Amino acid sequence: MKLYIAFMRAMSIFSPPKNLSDTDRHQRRHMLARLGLAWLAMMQVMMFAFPGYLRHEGMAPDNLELLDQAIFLMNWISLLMTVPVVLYCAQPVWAGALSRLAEKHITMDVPVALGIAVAFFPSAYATWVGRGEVYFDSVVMFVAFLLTARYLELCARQAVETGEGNAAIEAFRASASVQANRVAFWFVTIQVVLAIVAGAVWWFFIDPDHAVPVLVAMFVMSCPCAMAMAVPSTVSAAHATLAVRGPLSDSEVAALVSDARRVTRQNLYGSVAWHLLMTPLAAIGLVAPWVAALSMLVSSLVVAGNAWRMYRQQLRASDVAEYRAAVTQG
Amino acid sequence: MTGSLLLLLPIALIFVLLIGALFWWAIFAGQFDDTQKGGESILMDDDSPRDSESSSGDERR
Repeated sequence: MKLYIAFMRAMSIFSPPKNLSDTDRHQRRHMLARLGLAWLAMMQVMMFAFPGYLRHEGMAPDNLELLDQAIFLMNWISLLMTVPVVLYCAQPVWAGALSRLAEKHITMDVPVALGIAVAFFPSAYATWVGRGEVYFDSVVMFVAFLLTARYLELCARQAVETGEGNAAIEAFRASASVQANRVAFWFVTIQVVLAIVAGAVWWFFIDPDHAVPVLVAMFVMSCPCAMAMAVPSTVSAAHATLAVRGPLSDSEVAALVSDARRVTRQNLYGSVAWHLLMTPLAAIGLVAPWVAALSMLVSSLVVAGNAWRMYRQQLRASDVAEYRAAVTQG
Repeated sequence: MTGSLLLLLPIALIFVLLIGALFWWAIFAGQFDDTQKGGESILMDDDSPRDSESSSGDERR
């Protein structure tokens, strides 16, 4: 029995549920392939982008010439590796953005798709003509981090869907999803408008060369991955708690749901606040596109970590209760 | 230097393609479909003592 409990606690959302349907399993395999390939390409492209960050005009002319040759070659290799990332790994983004645009409805896919396109096409052009800045490293980092957040979300959702439903938690999920979608919708709309305004201001009034990185950073910031994860991560933490603690009384379930509601609210408004804090910095050009991508990954991981913390707290509470029961009985 | 880069960069590219292809194959061969079974098997193992007659039919031994 002890062993059985230990093994239940090790239940992970990353191990695919056994009763997945064939389409779900296929989708999950593709998501894993996209995620892994995006990370592989990201590591390579970041490496190949490094010489570009070393370059400055104060170098000796012959060194500069040599470095420019190396950068030219490495840009081409980066382009070769970024194309499959943009076409295959980011495919759900394109599909989501196009289908949503057809319905005249803005979701998180739209700014993500715009961000990728705005960073990729000028970089490809710069590689082709052999001069100008490239942002391949930002593109692949953005795709890889976005897919990380989406994969976490998919795992959490599949763990919930195939788990045994609990009426109270399902009701909480329905109401919280509506709230989260509304917040994410307004957030994305406002952020896209701000991004276009900031990009236009940089293009026309300040420095056209800097307009592309600002626009890319703003689009990356507008991606509400953390908000999209807020509800599924807490719901799956609540379900996992139920699975480990076994049948609970009504008052314990109510306490669990109110805990889940509190953590969801923290995650949702915390990530909105974080993105709103970063937006002005991105608008004045202080946030490089890759920093924006990194901050997006951090906020998503914090959301997942917060849900996990709730799960651990619930387990600790149940340990204490079991211990007290054992002491009073003994 | 450019000469060595022309040799080394394509080699790097080939390695990345090879690793990507192997990873792809491993996923669609189902190697990541059940990540829990290996860990559970040590707990699910039936290690109750028994006489040699009954254990002779046990496949896992």
